Amino acid sequence: MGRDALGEFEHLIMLAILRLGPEAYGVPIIDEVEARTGRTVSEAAAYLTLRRLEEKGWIKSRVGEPTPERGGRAKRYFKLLPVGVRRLRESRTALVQMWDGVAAELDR
Amino acid sequence: MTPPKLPFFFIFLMAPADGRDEILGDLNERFLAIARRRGTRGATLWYWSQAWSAVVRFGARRLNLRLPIRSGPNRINGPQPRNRVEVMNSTFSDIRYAVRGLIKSPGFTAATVLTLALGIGANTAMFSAINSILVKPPAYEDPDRLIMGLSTYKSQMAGNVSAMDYFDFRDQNDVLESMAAIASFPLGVPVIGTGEPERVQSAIVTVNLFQTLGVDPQLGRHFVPEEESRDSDNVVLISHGYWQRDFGGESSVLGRTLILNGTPYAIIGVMPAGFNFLHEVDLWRPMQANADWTGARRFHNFFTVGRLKTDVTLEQAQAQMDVIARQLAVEYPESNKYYGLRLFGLHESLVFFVRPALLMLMGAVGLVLLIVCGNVASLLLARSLARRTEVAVRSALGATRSRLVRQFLAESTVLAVTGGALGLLFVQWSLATVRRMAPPELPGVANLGIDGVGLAFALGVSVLTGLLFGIVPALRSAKSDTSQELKASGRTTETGAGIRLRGSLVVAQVALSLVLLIGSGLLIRSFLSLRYVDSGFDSSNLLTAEITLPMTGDYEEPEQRIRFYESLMNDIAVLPGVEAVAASNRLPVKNRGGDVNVYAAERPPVTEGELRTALIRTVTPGYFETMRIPLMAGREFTPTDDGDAPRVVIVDESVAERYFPGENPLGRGLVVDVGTDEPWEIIGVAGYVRQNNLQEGDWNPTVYFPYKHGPRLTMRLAIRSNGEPLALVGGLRRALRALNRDIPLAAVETMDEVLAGSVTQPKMQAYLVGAFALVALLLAAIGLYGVLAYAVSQRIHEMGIRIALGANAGNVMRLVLRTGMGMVGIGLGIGLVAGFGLTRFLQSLLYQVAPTDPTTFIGVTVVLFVVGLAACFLPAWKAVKTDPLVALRVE
Repeated sequence: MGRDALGEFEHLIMLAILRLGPEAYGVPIIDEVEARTGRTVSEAAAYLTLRRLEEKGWIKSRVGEPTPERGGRAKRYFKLLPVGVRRLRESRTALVQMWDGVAAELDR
Repeated sequence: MTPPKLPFFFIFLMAPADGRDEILGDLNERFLAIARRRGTRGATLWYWSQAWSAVVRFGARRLNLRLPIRSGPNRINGPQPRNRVEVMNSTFSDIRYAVRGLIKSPGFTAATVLTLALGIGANTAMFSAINSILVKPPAYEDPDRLIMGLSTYKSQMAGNVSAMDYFDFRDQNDVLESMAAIASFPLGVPVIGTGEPERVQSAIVTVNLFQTLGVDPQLGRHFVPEEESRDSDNVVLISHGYWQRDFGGESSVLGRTLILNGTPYAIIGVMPAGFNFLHEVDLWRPMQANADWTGARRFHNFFTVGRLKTDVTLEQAQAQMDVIARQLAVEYPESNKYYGLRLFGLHESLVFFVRPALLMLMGAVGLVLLIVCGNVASLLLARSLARRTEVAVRSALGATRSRLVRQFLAESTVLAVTGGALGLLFVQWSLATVRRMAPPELPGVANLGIDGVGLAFALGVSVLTGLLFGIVPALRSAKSDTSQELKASGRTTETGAGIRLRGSLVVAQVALSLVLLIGSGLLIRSFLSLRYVDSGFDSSNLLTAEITLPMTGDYEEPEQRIRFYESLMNDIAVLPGVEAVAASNRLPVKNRGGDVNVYAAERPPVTEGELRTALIRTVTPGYFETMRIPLMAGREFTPTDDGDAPRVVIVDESVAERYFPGENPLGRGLVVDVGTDEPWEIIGVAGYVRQNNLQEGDWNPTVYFPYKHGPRLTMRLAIRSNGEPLALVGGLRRALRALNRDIPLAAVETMDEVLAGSVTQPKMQAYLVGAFALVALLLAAIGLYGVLAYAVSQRIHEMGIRIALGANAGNVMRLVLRTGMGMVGIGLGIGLVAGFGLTRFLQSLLYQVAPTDPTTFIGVTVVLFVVGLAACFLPAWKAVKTDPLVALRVE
């Protein structure tokens, strides 16, 4: 693991971006995490995390189009960068290996 | 639908500038989605939680120095920044440093921020109210060209215009694009529509009123000119609220029928949401020529509204109306001899009556804000003195003077903005209060909220206040001489100039609070004299209600009405808990107006100038007994005073005094001009009753007629109970339903509620200004205490020496008290003079209290003196208790 560790919430956000593909901006990202994990995500927390991920160079963003239901304000779309994809892959490998054989213990 | 404004504003403030758009956009989008799923309430709650999280997270992020600048303490004291980026960075560090410093002294910070929140909050609320009511023109098309025309009688404002005069003004002028009219009072009518019969408020308007205002129905059509004729079909426009309530907002409402007063009316349109003009009503009916209230020139029932042609000024229009009025006076001298029409800007005339109250409140909160600023300045001054050494160290390390000034400014700005944000919460609450006290017909009250301008004002005041009280200590600190300060090493002494500066702040605060206290004292006294005014009847345990019989059908004949009300009275009288019951066409205070010309039959007036009016009331037997209005002479009406019996009336003592001064009025003839000059015989004299409102200044003489001589459709019941009056409502409803289940019972309230409601506005004024004055008093006391406590702590050394040299407790206490009360005395003097000058602006708001009422002036001066003494006493006590050993050892 490098200096920039991948936090759990960051992990969730990045996976949401991956799932959504070209549709990944604030609202669907939060909806995705909320729907799949059942926890509540505040806009501020999501925003700060996205910014942090961008500073780390794992994702990049571009400003999208404004829509009326947003009160005419622009969206910001996010996309995983190759470095980010690599971090996710490493993380998955590590987790899968750690989980190997212990699931049964937890469910007992 | 948009998210609630206040949390939006918090998020807007806290979100990082470059992410603001996407954050607010995301939240907006989700807000709408949640509102669809869970309703507006749920969405609003959710939005607040998001705002909370934004404040906490973004706030923490801003404070916790993760900003992309690497700065140590050197930056605070370092040399002048050179380029823009550096200026930005150093501004950040100024703010950060200020926040850190403020967090370190929580007591000072809390006191300052709360003081500011109160002042700024109250100011913003008042500004928002004044802005939406006084400044912002009504939301009609091109509102500046809208005018209102009110009648004058002998050049005095009278108000109402007759329909026939209106037609002449409308048809003969060429200065108005269009001219419309609306009945000056709303009218409750019994309506049978979709379900239970109900009573609905309606307004009579001319067919062109809405076009004149420039407001189109949301659904359906306008009235058309033909509908002004009596022969046309009956049509009605309904309000958006009524449409939603009774018709579920369905467009099939067009063409449906409402039974008004027993007559069918077709619904032709729905006005847009929020639309209301003059009266809060749910139905608008076209005014028809030659109908009940339009048939004669002496029936003055309407206000006129017009739209000026583009190139015509108000003065030109007025000139032409004067010409038309003179022609009418020549043509119809009987009715129009002294009548004229005066034009006003519509907006101006609508706000005319609340302007004094609002401006007075604005003045009051302005004074509070001044006191607040004085207090905070005083606090900051003391703080800056305590920090002299720190400043000296920093300037020794190379901080420039302008850098230090900026630092102090940053601190006070942070304080002011925080106070302002907190104040916004207070605004919400205050605006709700204003909404309650303002009459509903005022434009802008319904959607009164913090608007953009109000918000900008709040921020403007916050920052200005910050600069105002920030600059003095900043300049003073920056002036200090480094080596001197460092030598003083910890023990700080205040210079003479500092003492004087803070002393004059205290004097100003005392003076300002005295002005506020005087104002509130006057308003409270005025309110109290209103509340305990003798109404002329006994309002306790009295239930009132209103009944209107339909004009057609079962009650067309007078005998039918008489029979209905007679049996209703009999049924109510036997209900358990009822002591007495009677009815009048208008009850005192609850129903106003209704005056006609009256004169003594033996002395008919020679000239028109001698004609005088009196109020007329139609009452059932037992009315005076039920209302407990004393009968001074003669007898009360009996059931035998009917249409076949002699024409008899009861008058009140003011009628007797005016028309038969010094004579016995019983048995004399009185002519009441309701179309005949056949006199009525006076059979009784009753006590004087305040019919229109409690604060009326002049006599409003009243003549009472027996019900059976002129049976009306609408009567108001007065029921005297021997317990809680509202407990009778159920029985009353059942009694009515047993007689006729299609007749609604309306306006059910106790007489005490009626009276309390009639003084709501003076009460709110007195309470609000009273609250401001209390805040001011408290702030002034805190200011005084702060200054004196500081002065004592500065002179603790001197006190110690004095006591060591044998000064007794009395000497020391006198010394301190003299300093404090000297300031109070000067402040009181200035405040009294200012009070004498300023309170005359309150004149129009006062009832039976002179603006220079000596009791109030002396009373509040004493109060402020005592509070000042109390504030001085603690520091004085501390001085007396000084242990000379301790005091001297401080050295």
